[in-house]
Amino acid sequence: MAETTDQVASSRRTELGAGVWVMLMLGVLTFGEFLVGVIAPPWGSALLLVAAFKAIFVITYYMHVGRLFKAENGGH
Amino acid sequence: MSAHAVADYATKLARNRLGLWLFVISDSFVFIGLFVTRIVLLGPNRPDLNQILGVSVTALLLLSSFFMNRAEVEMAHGNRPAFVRNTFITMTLGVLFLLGVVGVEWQLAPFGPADGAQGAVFYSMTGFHAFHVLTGVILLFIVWNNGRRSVYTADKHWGVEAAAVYWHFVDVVWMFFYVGLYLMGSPV
Repeated sequence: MAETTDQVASSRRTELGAGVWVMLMLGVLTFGEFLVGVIAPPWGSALLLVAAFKAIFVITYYMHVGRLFKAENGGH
Repeated sequence: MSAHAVADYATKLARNRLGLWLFVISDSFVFIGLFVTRIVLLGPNRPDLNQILGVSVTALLLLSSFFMNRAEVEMAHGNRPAFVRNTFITMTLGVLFLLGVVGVEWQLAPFGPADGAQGAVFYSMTGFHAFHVLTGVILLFIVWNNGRRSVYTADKHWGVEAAAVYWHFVDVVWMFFYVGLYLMGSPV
């Protein structure tokens, strides 16, 4: 069923909004990593977990890994 | 498009996605190898690098991913001018990242590629990653140029999706390399 103009505009807003939230979260976590890395270097390996957390967000929300498992166009 | 054409396109799209992700996974093994090399050779130490520069280039790459995502969303909703604008910003940020790492960090680093394990690890990790950023920028330029010529539509824009996935992959790799080179261990 074809989407109405309102539905299209709403889905665009939702997707752009999700992008903003992911970016904010990545920014905060990266700044936290920077502070910990500079102030307490021995904690460095724990920062790998934070990096993995950030990567999962990018893979899920920016790379849309879920589209791989969808039968329909998913995004097109 | 007819129902048959739509089904045909969906099948091709699914195969393209699988192929791209298989490439991403295989390419990531090279980066994992480089990261393991860093762990083994440098252990609890890290190169003494400029922290402000490190976090700055990282911010540039994160920001570029944000704009790439916007570009893809805009194309998926048929907003071509916004797609072209956001892709251009992404490219610009990618070029700035390259200038920051290769043009500035490589010059500021207090060691060269031949100065022991530290130099070998730092230049091979940043060099291999920078090569991927460079190819990403070239890919983005092609997609940006195609976008300007109205090659893509809201229904058909696989090229945009592929470029975006590749660009975000390069960003994900840097998330780990940033920690490995700039934050983990004590500076020597």
